[in-house]
Amino acid sequence: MKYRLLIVVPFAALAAFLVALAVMPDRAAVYRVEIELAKSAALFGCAAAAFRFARGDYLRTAWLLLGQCYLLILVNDVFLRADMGAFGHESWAPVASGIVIFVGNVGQLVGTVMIARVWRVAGFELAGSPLVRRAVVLIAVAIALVSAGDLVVTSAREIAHGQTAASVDLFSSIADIISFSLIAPFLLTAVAFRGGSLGWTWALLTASLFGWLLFDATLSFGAAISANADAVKRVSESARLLACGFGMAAGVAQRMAVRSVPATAMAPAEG
Amino acid sequence: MTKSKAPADIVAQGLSGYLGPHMARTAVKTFAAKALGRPPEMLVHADIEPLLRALRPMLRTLLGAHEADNVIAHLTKEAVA
Repeated sequence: MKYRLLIVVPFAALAAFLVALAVMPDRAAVYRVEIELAKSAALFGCAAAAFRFARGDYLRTAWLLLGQCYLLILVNDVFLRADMGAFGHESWAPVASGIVIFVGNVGQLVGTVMIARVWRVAGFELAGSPLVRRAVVLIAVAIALVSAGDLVVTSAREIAHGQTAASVDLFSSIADIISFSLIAPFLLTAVAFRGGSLGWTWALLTASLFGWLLFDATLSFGAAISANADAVKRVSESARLLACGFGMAAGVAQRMAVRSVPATAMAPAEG
Repeated sequence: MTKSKAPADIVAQGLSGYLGPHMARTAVKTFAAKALGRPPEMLVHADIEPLLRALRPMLRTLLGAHEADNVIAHLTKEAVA
C-alpha cells in the first residue's frame, strides 16, 4: 500500500498546481513556486535514496549524481539566473550559470547511466527475449530523438549564429536524448523486478523520465501545436512537476526498499 | 519446517521481497550454475552458504554492502534453523 501511495503524490501535487493556477491571479508567481518546489522535492528524493546507502555503494554514487543536478539548478536559480538570481545582473553571471548547468547535466547523465546499467553491474539479465529488448531500446531511442531532437537542431543553429551561450542548451538536449533512450533499460529493469520492492524504484524512475520526455516534447512542439502560449506553459510545467514528483517518489521508494529489517527479506513486498 | 524446503527455494523466497519472485528464482538459477555448476533443484543445504557468497556482489550493488550482509546473514540463519 505504501508504495502505491508514492504514485499518488505526484498526481496530488499536479492537482494542487492546477487548482492554484485557476484561483491565483498572479500566474507567474505560481509557476515560480511550482518550479522551485518541484526541484526541491526531487533533490529531497535523491538525497533520501543516496544517504540510505553507505560510502562506496554503487547506487549511493548514482543517486548523489542525480541529486547534485537538482541542487546545482536550484543554486543557479537562486544566485545566477538572469531574471531572478541574486547575482543575475552581473556580467560574469551568464558564464558562471552555463558552467553550473553544464556540471549539473554531466552529473545527471552519468547518474542516470549508472542506474540504467545496474543490471549489468549486478550481473543479471533484463526482462524479455533479446528481440523484445532490442525492440524496446529502438522504440525508446526513436521517441527520444523525436522529443528532444528539435532542441538539438535549434541550439546548434543558435551556436552557428554566434550565440555561444546556446552550447549549454545543446549539451542539455543531447544529455536529454541519451537519458530518454535509457527509458528502455529502466523499464526492463522494473519489469524484471516486478513483485519486489526494488521494482518500484525503477518503475517510478521510468515515470520520471517520461515526464521529462513530455517536458522536452512540449518545448519542441508546443508552439506548433497550440497558439495559446499559456496552455503550452501549463502543459510543460505539469510535465516538469510530474517528472520531479516521480523522481522524488523513486528516491523514497529506493530508501524504503533498502531497509535494515531482515524479516522483510522473507516476505513479498507490499503493493 | 524450513528444513523441508529445497535450499534453492529458501534463498529465492528470501530474495523475492526485494527482487520479486521471478528475478529471485532467475538469480538463484544463474548463480547456482556459475558458482556451483549445478541447477537449483540439485542444491543441498551445504550449498546455501557458497550460493549466498556468490550472490553477494549482486546484492551489494542493489542493496548496498550493509543491507546485503544483513540479508545474507538472515538467510544463512534461516537455512540452519
